[in-house]
Amino acid sequence: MTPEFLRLLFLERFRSFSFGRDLLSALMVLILIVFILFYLIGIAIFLGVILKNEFEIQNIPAFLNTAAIYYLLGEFVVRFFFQKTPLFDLNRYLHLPIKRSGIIHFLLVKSLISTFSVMALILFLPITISEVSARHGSPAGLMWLTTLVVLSISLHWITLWVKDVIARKHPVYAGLLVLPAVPFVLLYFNLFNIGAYTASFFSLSLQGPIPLVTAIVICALCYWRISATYIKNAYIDQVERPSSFAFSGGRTGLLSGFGMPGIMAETELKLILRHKKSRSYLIMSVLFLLYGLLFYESPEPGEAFELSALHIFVGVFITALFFVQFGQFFLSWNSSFLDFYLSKKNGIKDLIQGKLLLLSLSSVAAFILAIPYVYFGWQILLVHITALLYNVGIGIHIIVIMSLWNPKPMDINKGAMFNYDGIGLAQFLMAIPFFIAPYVIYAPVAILVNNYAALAALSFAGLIGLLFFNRLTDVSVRIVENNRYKISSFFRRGT
Amino acid sequence: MIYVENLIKRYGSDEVLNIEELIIERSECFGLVGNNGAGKTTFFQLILDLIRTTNGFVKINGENVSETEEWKNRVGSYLDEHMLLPFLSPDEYFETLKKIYGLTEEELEYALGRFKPLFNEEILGKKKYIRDLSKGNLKKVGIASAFLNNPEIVLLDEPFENLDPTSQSRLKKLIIEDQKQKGTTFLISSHDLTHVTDISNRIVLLEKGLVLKDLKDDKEVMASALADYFER
Repeated sequence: MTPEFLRLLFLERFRSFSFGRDLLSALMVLILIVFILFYLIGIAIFLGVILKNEFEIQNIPAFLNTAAIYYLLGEFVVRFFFQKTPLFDLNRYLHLPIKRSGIIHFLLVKSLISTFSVMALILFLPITISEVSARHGSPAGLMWLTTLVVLSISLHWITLWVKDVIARKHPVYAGLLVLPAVPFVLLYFNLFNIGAYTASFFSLSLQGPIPLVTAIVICALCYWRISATYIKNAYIDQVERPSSFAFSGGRTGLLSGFGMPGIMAETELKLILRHKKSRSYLIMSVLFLLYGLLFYESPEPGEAFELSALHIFVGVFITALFFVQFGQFFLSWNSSFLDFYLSKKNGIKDLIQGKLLLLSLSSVAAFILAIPYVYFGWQILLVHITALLYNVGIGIHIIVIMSLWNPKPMDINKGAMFNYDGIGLAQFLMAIPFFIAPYVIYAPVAILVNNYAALAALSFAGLIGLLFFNRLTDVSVRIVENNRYKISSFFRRGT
Repeated sequence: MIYVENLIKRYGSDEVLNIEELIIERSECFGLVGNNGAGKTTFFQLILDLIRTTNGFVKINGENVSETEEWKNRVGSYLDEHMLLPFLSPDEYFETLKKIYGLTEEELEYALGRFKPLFNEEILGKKKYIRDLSKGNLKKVGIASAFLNNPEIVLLDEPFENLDPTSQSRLKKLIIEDQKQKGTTFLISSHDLTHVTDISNRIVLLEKGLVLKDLKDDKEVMASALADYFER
């Protein structure tokens, strides 16, 4: 069945309604992948030199043995955010005489085709040749590298498994993701070095096949675990879990002060709370509020807070995460019932105004939740105010107008099992103009005057955008109304 | 042929189906009726192992459907358009099924030939993807695919819905023909009481997941029993 599946998969991709757009984003993803690969290769080639000269490490194999566990933990985190969960429409095949397990194995093996599968190999091949093999001989180097690569492949299955648990049990499990960070923190404060304990495993792999065999067994067990889970859940109805979200947000009148857009915003809020996909975005955004902790640091005593261009990015990111996520699919959320709005007087206008209102409010909410960052300096608050003004005044329209270019229908009711895409690479790409735009205003002023003037200029630009909020909204409304036949007929066809 | 025991399906605390025991004999034409939410589609999905049972089991020829997959070679089914591959043309879809079922070219041609009158020259040889077909034509493709592998059992959910009157009577003819000549077992759910009494020799009436009536009498008795129930 495998060749047939591959053929069908190819046809599906090729004949997709949004082939043009998919092709474009695929191209951008490809460029990014090539870029990342070059970057990885660059790091890989110079890794040995850097370690030797910059960090003055003499015995590189011994260092690598200790560092390996940290590499794997880091890889896991990166995988969690960027590795895609395999998607498959089981409905179409389950009634046919194709083995359920066959479908799942195909799906899982296919998911190995990914940059991540070669990441460890690329990163460590040069240093293995130049350092490990040089010191311990080629067979030992080969065994060492293979062990690491097999463990990296195990991470592939573990990531899928963790994502599956989060999707089926509760998004709150995503909180467990802080665990991989714990060893790093302990190391940072010189409390505990887990690497010292795992180093012997890797150094043993230079001497005999036992670690490699162990790694293969681990990999096989991980594969067995995830495939068993997938096969067990390969049904078209979802796993039942007691959910407090099952019927939520019954109150009305919360936003009634805003008139018709307020009513629409409220309906949208219900849509968000009542669908798994949007809900996981919401939870992710709240978790990402902590992102600032990575970048903001309290100034050394006696030193003044130094405002940098990076702060703008972080501020915009923190206050806009939900609306970038949600706004990218702007109309797609309503794709299966767009006719409802089309059949109402001013329906589209009300819908778009309502959505923009909700997105703006989400940014305000993020701003309020991020106020505690003031701890790192009152300037952070200035940055966040600027970011908020930019988001609501300008950024929102960038996201929305871009999203209206050939909007894709989306099945928001689809179950979680094979529909947990979380935050994918392509979504980040769409956000690029949104994150670059503030610098178009910020950078020249910062260079000509200074950072604070640049901040003021950006705020001012945001304020002007806010003054023209209705005008700018009308642009989006007009785009939809002018393309309403195209968009609605496209949506009616479904996903 | 099909044996159902203690079959229960619950979603949370809602019980959507509860059938104590049901045996469907070979070459029976089994009609399933009931108002919305009676559990007709759920019952079919459970027979096809598309959803998990909460309790009990379904056996086809002695095989528990959730434990083996052999039975899928002998069962044809069409519940809804999600069972189709929307990005293929009907021809390509039938060709794909041919490979999956391991049919010969002749077998496929024979099976499709019987559907020519129903297709009304709107399905085969057209350069149109399944996703672009009208609801009626979509249904025709689905129904034909359920007959393709010369199955012993055919499950159809609301097969008459969306079909024009001519197609409806052509489909009825096909069903009766297969049942009489090949001894095919049919399980058909429908809201169209006339059609379902015309073709069925047994009708089960579901209400809120329970078997309310199991009618095996002659057609007039069945028709009046159904009329009594639905016209309360």
